Amino acid sequence: MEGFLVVLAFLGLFMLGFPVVLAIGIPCVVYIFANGLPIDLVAQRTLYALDSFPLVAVPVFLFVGSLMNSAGISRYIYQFADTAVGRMPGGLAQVNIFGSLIFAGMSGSALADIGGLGRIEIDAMRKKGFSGPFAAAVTSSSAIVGPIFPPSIPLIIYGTVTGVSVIQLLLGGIVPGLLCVAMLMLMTWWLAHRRKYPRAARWPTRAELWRDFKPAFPAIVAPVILIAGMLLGWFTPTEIASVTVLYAMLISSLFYRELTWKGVLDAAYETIRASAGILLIVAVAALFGWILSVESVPQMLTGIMLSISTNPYVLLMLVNVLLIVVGMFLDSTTAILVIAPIIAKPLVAAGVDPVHLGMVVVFNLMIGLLTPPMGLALFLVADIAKVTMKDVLREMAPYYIPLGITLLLITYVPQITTWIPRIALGS
Amino acid sequence: MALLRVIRTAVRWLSLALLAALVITPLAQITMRGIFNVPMAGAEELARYFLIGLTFIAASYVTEQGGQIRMEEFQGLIPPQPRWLLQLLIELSGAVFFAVMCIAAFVTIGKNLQNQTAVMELPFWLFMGPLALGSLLLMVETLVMLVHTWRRRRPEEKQTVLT
Repeated sequence: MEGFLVVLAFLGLFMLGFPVVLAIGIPCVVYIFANGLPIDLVAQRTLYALDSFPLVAVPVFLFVGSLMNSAGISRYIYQFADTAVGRMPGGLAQVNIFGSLIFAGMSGSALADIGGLGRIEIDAMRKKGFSGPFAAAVTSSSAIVGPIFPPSIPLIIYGTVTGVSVIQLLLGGIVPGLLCVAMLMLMTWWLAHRRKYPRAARWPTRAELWRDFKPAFPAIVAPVILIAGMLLGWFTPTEIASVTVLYAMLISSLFYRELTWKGVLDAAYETIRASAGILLIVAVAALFGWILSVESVPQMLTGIMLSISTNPYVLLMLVNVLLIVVGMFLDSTTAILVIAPIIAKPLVAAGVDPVHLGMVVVFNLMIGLLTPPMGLALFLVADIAKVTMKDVLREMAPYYIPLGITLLLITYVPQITTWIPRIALGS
Repeated sequence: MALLRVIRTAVRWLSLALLAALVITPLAQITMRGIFNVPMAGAEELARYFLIGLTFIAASYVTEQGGQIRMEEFQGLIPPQPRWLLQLLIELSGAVFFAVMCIAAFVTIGKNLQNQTAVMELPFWLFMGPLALGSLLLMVETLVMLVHTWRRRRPEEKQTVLT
């Protein structure tokens, strides 16, 4: 009972506008004092939550995203995407989606995509006559490919809290990421036909394609190098993050020659702000998770879920409904930390593959980045595009359809996620 | 205020150093293991320590910059006077919460003075130090916000600064 009170108190404080750290932390501290537990628990649980090597990848991958933006890599990705798919119906809207896929291969963060590549794309789309809200909607919906396609910060956090192999999760994200891009491009195609959006006058010649492919090549090839290095055992998923920073700095200074010390410093400060904010929540959420465990909340929820049905497909549907609601109110990191350990147990017990479940959870919560009231991607994109949240949401409406279809496909066709990990790792 | 400025500058530089160390440590491990075949025994522990340091030391910088994630929508519906009181309450409870974290860290250090970490044998006070210092800094930054909100006599339009 007290466990549920802690959850209710958290939701209440969060709705009142308390920062997430305080909304989680204050009920936990009250619980500890009310039950006469030693105060050391507060320090031990919060500190040990961060004593985790996979979490080291979180700030380092955020740094990669910021570096790519500071070093101009995002601009070259955009140029290549423009040449390659700018002639498709939807023009720059298709470029926006395709560019996000390439960006996703080096960065594991949706917000880094919106903050860097998104800025360039929104400006370019406006200049070509697209409305600001539509540009913002395409940018934010395509940015969620970043945390699905490897590397991915939420998948690393999910693997850390549930004990699922991070390598399998990262490999599992390849096909869902590509599927999501295909679905978004199809919707853009359909909208372009209805609304007569502008597009490039002609398809590129081979020479033009080659000209713009060359500068984008180091970014395009990055995921191949990273995945190969991981599978060959050269480095662990956590070490990949540092290798990607080195790679980004090398190509920026030797190949693009655009990286300045000021750019590195700006990227570093941006990373520090973003990562400390997220990781402080991770730390305090560990205390919250511990209280829920002590109060047997996961076991109670497991019992309730399994009493409704033991059919994995029905349970997955329940999880999807739950996560859509949760994703509307919690940011993705908090939601993974709070919800994943609770729902993983009954679902895996019912026969759902843990890697498959991880993808369902993370994809669902990434859609949560695009749903009000707590849609961080919406906040950021509305701020960058200088449009209202209401206008972005109006243009977002059609894009919830491909995202929903992708979610259903990922949920009910587990092979979309498990196929590549099975081939690559034989598990 | 001059002291606060010095502290903030020191926090920023220390956070930068910790981020650099966080990137370099795994790279050093890959190099030592892959090229020289001499893995560094404490590299993982050191990287984890830098992560702990970065999170807690930089947390006050995040607070100062308005980067603590929150949902402002419902608060925006409240009339100005109660909203101002609510903001004061949030900041006051935040300062108390971080004070509790700080005391908890010092109590834990006091009880484990003889302990060390497993591989690097770092003394426990050094291991727990970032939490103690970070919570203290968080408490100070939250108190600064509280004083600022009190002096304004009206609510602030709070927005989460994400990048």
